[in-house]
Amino acid sequence: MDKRTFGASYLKYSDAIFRHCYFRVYDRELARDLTQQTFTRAWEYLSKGKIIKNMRAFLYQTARNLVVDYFRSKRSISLDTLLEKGFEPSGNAGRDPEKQLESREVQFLLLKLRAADREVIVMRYIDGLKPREIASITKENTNVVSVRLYRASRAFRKVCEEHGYDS
Amino acid sequence: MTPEEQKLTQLFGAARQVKLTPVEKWWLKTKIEFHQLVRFEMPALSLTKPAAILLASFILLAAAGVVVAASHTSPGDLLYPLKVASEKVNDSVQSFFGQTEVVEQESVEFPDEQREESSEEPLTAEPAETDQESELETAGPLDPVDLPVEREELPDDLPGISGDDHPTGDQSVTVETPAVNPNVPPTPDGTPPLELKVNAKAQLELDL
Repeated sequence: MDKRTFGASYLKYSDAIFRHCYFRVYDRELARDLTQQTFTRAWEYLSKGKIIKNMRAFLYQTARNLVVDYFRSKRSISLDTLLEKGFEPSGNAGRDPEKQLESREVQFLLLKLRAADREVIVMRYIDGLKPREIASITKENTNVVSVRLYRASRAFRKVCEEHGYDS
Repeated sequence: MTPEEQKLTQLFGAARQVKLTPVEKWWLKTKIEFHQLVRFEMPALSLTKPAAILLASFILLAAAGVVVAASHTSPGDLLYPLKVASEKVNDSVQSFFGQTEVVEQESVEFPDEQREESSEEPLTAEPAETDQESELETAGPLDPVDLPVEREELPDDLPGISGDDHPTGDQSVTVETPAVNPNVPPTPDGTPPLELKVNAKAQLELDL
């Protein structure tokens, strides 16, 4: 990956990076800013003459670091805080009435999880990353990621049952 | 992928549809490209603010000095073309502002012309008939009447006699009363003197 193919990478991954940021911070405007910073940092990296072997992993890792930096500067988000600020979940583009949860229902249910559980759930089931890719992004062992994923899935199922959803 | 994972993946299907709108995507791309341009392609713009102000001031001063130096050159000098160019610019600017002044003067003179036209109107137009004149015309010549007021009985403070007051139109008829005084001899052709006087006065007012 070099500077010449940067535009193509933006078109290919901008939606995914935005989605990842959005389901981490629950603020559409902030997610846009984080997406912009993610691609800007990638450009800076390339401008230094360095080569990015896996652009997708690099972008997710950069976005994750930006989200972590954001949470370090701010308090962790909670549903009550978001509702006080007038939080309104983004609508979804499509819906399968048989099995799919509404996007806004997913957002509310994810907010009931711990931040660490929410992170792996988002990466695995919304971003579609494999445990090995998640491990390379979070700099963890793949087995550790699998255990985290298992525990997070169980916690999410419990939250769904508490709110009347059959997961 | 286990059945449990497949179930969860299907559950989050709607969440995976969340994405940037086309306008958001375009705007983000524009901002990223602008950042690239400013931050990486144009490093000179990354100067600190005081340094940028200092540099801009120096450039302006240098440009002003060159223009002043060129104004004192003669044909054949290096900066003479700059002098010619600055004179052309100066002429065009002056002509532009000169046109503006003409427009302003015209706009100022316009009310004066209106006033002149309005002052000329009574001279060129036919005199309008006043109510008083129309009454005189419709009434025709006045019949001689015997006014009961005698000259000797007129009060001293009558307007027009003392000279302090100026007689008006109606009062002038009173002033003409001596013309119908019986003591005044009639005209040779026998017409009543009052009729002549009144008609002459009406004609005089019409002429005025």
